[in-house]
Amino acid sequence: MIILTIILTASPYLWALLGIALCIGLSVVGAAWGIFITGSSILGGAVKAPRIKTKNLISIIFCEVVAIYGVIMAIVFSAKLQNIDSKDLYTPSNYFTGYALFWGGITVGFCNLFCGMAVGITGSTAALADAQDPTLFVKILVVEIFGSILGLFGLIIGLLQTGKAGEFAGAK
Amino acid sequence: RSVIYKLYIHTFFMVVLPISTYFYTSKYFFEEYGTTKAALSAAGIANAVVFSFIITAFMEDSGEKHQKRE
Repeated sequence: MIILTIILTASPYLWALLGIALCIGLSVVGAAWGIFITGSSILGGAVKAPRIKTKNLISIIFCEVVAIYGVIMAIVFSAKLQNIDSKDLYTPSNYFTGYALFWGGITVGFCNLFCGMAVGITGSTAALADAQDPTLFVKILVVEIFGSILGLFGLIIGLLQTGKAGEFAGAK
Repeated sequence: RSVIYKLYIHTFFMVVLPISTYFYTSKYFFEEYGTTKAALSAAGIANAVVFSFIITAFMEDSGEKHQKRE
């Protein structure tokens, strides 16, 4: 009952800013997870096979692109924030903006989280396979490209969700 | 050693180019701010930087291979 009251009477600012925080926060968690998994494997494999160092940085760049998607969406979302007096704040249009930013942020954040994890685990195995047999790397790169497209899906759907949400506006 | 230099350059461009593309296109090309197309163009630029890094890494690698054969 208390939870229902909180959900129904919370300010649109709460939803909007929580969405922006989850968008950038979860994207960075995904990118960081991918980079630390891949980085440890590259460093471990490069002890015996130093030639893998250059090509496997491609996996690191794929993980970082996921974080850049989160940053771009957080900038797009935060352009809709305005400072509105609290008596004018609770209009339906502002509620729509708040909810749209919240769910758009969760969409982008979770898509980037799992995309970063997928690319990271694939990249770590790619580094170890490349150390054994250099011809395998190009084929594993195809798997990583497919994994990286998942983050792009999250970005597109997040844009579609918040495309129609106007910025916070006071009542006329 | 030049491989680390290329990685730094690509990382710098990866951070700076998409965000500046977003602000630049939303100001000059598309009339309203925060448009969908401006953000999509920024994502496209980020992918272009990734692509250029892949090409650089493969060229560096095949250059090393030719050197070892000689």
